[in-house]
Amino acid sequence: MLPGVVSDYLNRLDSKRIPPLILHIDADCCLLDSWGKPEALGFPPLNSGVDLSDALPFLTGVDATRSGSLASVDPGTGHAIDVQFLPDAAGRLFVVLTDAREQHIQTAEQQQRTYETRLLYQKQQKLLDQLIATRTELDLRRREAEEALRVKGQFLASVSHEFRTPLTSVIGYAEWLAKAMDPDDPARRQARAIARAGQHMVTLVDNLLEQARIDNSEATVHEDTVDLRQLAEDMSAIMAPLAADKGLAFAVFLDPQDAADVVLDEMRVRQILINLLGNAVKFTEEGFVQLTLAWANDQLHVAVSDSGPGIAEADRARIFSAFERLEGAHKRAGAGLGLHITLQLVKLLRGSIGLDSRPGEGSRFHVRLPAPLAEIPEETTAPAASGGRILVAEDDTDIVQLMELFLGRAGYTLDLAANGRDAVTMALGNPPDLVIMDLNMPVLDGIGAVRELREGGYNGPAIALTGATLDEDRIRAISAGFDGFVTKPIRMPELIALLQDLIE
Amino acid sequence: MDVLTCKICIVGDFAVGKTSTVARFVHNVFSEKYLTTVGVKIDTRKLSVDGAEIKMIIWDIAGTDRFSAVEFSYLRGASGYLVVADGSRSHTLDVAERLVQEARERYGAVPQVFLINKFDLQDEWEVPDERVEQLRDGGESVFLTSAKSGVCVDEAIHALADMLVAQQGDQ
Ligand SMILES: Nc1nc2c(ncn2[C@@H]2O[C@H](COP(=O)(O)OP(=O)(O)O)[C@@H](O)[C@H]2O)c(=O)[nH]1
Ligand SMILES: [Mg+2]
Repeated sequence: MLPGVVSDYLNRLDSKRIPPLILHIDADCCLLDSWGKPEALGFPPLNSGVDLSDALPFLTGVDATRSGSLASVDPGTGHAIDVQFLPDAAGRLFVVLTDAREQHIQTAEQQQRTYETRLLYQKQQKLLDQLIATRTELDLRRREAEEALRVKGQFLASVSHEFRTPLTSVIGYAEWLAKAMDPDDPARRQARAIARAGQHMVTLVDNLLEQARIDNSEATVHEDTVDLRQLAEDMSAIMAPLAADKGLAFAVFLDPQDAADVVLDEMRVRQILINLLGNAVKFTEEGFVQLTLAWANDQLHVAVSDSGPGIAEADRARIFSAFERLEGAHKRAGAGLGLHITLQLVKLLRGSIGLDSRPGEGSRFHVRLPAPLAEIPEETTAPAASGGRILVAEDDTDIVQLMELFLGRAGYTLDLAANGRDAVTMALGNPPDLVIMDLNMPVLDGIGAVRELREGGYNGPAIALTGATLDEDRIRAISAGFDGFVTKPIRMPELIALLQDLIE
Repeated sequence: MDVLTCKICIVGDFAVGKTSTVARFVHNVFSEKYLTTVGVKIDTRKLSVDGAEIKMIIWDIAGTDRFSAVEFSYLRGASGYLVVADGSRSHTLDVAERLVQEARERYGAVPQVFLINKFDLQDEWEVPDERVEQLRDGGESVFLTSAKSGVCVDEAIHALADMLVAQQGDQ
């Protein structure tokens, strides 16, 4: 009854539990004949002569002249079947339907696992990509921030440089005036006050510069010999007028026994003291502010006490943690930068800082800094008029005049040049005993000039003069051929001591 | 009146929302749960387009990034394609374009519309507007759909139905 192609196909099928359903249809999907049970494969009863395209939707679009197959079809019944089309010679079609449920379920389980894993993997990959993008973005931001910080540092350094040159004149002339005046002249005190205020401004400028250095992690320690008595006097001179303005009693205590010469980074110590004292004065409305300096066991002990409002236990922890944090949210109003720098500086000098306070009973900051005893050089007597000829190359005429005043009095004769080019010509033509050169000069700067001097055969000592205090500038100057380095504002006694050393 | 009966195949990579799109279109339901499609599942829905009745027999084909002989056998005799991609996984749009290319090479061009699905996932959306414009400039009908919210699903399938009816009128 069934044609050969169909029975051949049936013979090749595995023996399945559900016997196949075989339909014979014409080109219009009309059922001609059938074998097997439609219900067993999920279909309704199928009667001969009926259009099957509704019950068997996969018949739509089928080419009745071609053999072909469809695997794993759910025709809407929920029952998966395999379909085989076998055309007969008369342009009609045998459709063989076999059960495929078991295989369908197995494939589904396996495929579900595979696809879920792949989805998970894709999701992970996407997150990873986002993470990488975020990190790249952050890196970029960080580099931008670092660059901004570097630019800020350079800006602060050049601002401080700009300040130093005029401050040298202010301080130098004020000191010169004070010295030249009659000791009883009341104006002498005023001239000293100008010099002190000038020094204070230098400290403020240094605070800014220090912050820039700390931000760029390029702060280094410069050890000097510090006369503690001088330090105490200076602090008194700077802070007493400020305290007096607010009607506060101000005192500095230093046991004469402790008045040693010690090794410390003087600029940093001054900054620490000025910052702590400045805060104490700022937050104390009545009573006193006092500074106690003591020296014991190679350590400088500093205590800054006040009768201000005090700091509650809870806030104290916050203040100390605010010290730690550059952008701390709980900074004491207005105390921010000063206190923050103070802690950084104390750390830089390998010291420690603490606070005793109770609300209503004032505050006491105490700082401890390592400060070994300095080897005191033989006290040099007033410069003998040993003399010597010094070439000064400096374009700032105020500073030139100041040098003429001080160095002239110390017994030196000066050749003057207003730029590096002139200095080179003069020094090579008639070599002086020593050259002092500003680094920042028109026509030819100090670095270029000293190079030419050294190349031209000048081998006397050379001192560089600059407003910059960056270590890299020092290194640059020394490697170009300078023997020494003096930072503006110039302290004349220091400069003279250096001249004496080098001219010998 | 004659009913136009058309075999439509819905193609695309796995998990782009083919089954969900059919479920939304035929039964107006949506499920978050992912249930992979094996082989092909056939659903039917009648539409009327400008007074003409069209019966769409929709073949929901198991997702794949490359057609094999099995999938090609499903595509035979199709009058149109619903081409689905997942907008939150932009590579599925590449896959979709490749699949229609393969189908066209095998069986010739038939009307098709692109559905860039999961449009509700705005935060995870990956397909840039320019890409969509590019497809449209190339003459494709593109719909940004969501089987989840139902957005544009009917519009997309109606657009395909319009094409099929218009094509029928031409013949
Ligand atoms: N958010 C969202 N999820 C969808 C959408 N369409 C489908 N899905 C989900 O995507 C997964 C795959 O959907 P499915 O329809 O099975 O994809 P198919 O493999 O292409 O048939 C399922 O978890 C669905 O719930 C949609 O428009 N929006
Ligand atoms: Mg599916």
